[in-house]
Amino acid sequence: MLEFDDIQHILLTRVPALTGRYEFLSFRNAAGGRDWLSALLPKVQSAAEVRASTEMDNRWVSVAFTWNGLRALGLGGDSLATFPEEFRQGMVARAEMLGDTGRNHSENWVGGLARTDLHTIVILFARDAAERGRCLTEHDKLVAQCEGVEVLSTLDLEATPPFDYAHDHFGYRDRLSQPVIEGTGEVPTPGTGAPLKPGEFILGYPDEDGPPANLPQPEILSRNGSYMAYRRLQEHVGKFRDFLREHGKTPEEQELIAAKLMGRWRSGAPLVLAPDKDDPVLGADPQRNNDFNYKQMDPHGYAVPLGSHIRRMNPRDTAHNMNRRRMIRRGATYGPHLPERAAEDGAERGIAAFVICASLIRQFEFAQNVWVNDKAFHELGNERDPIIGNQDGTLEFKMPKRPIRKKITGLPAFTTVRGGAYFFLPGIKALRYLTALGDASPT
Amino acid sequence: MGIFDTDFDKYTEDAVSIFAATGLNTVFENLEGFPKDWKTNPRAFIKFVRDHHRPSFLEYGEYPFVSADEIKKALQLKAAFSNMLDQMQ
Repeated sequence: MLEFDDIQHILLTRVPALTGRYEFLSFRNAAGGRDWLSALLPKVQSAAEVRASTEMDNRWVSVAFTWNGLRALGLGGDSLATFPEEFRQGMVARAEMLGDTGRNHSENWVGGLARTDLHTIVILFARDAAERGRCLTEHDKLVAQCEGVEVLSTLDLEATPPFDYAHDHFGYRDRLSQPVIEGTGEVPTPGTGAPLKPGEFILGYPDEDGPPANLPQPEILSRNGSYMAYRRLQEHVGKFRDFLREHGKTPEEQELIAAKLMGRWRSGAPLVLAPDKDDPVLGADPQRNNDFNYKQMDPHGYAVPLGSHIRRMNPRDTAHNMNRRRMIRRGATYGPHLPERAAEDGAERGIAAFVICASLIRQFEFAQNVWVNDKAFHELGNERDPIIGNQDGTLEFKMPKRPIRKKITGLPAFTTVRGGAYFFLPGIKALRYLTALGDASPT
Repeated sequence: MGIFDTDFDKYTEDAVSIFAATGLNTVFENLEGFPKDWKTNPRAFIKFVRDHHRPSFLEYGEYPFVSADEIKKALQLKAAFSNMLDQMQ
């Protein structure tokens, strides 16, 4: 049985927030860090709490730590050594694996995210800006009271208009394909696939391969925890719109190019089910908008190009071992909305998202390395993910079409990685364990 | 099946399942120093592979009922077609 009262809510639930804020902190002093965590702990909601009171709550708090952060809180070397290598190294060191080279390199990151003294992230989601303001004032007070706790940077999240559905700055509807975890009671929408074993996302439970193995020790620390890969991805909206205008003569043609890059119309309607014309009603219908496969319905990519974003991030029935590579996505958009006819204003805007999984290397890093950035994915040659791949202007994007395919050369980068980190998201009891570290082993 | 010519770590699990499914496990298990618990201990498995791997000088790919010449011609044809399609843009 899943221990809903011990699992941090962000792992299992989505909250009705329109704003938020991430704060990245450093602990100069272990006892000060533990004081901070003790004071924050009562505000970190479990999945059970959020399920019981989402309608009444106005703010939701999660907290997670880098490996250096666990050490800074005073966790012992024996325990630290039991965490997997990729987490111990951190995202910066995994640059080659992740494609964080060139413009995406950590030298260009902002907010101190590449620093080794990045120790923790506090994630706040709030119903409105007023509630966010109230929470951050409270948090500022707490930080001031705790010795050696320093805020490295913060990032405010804002939903982008129109607010009636989730979408990014490019205008693509989001949150359409999300795996369902066995035992949550959630029913997968058609096409999503059967519920997956909880161990794929939550430590301490059986996964698709069998009983849990190689968990960080002690058990109380890892149980009901998970890993989060954080990515701050700037979206170059002006460049994206210029590209569509350059390659499409009419608004209809431009919409089709946008759809081909993603594999879905911006309304969310999947190209497999609506290959020629957008169908916004389909896009908004969860019973239909994820109900498709590739092997039978679009083997050659005439509808969804083989290299499009959704075909890479979730190859469905065209990848081996798929159930071991699913990921939970959370996050939000940041930065000001760029109205449709406005010129690029140079402001930074994008998505600041978390990929949650039980194994960073098997799930997140595999997806980044093989699906997003391998130029030979699906034997394409010279292509990477057109939305989030490492693009340097030398690669292409091919759209299968009868009688002849269309090929775009010199694809520009529509996104840039501005920061990232690997975090461990402990369960509630594990957070309590961390606050008590000083009692067990004085530092 | 698969040539594991990139970062091997990512593919460990695929490799383990492919090896197990094809009965290759019996070969490995008779190697000196091979970790007995390799199916549940990917780190030991990776270490053993890293300690012992050698550059391949020959690779075997199976294409039933097709000769090597026919494969080369087919690849040339594919490249020529691809080139033609690009020129028609």
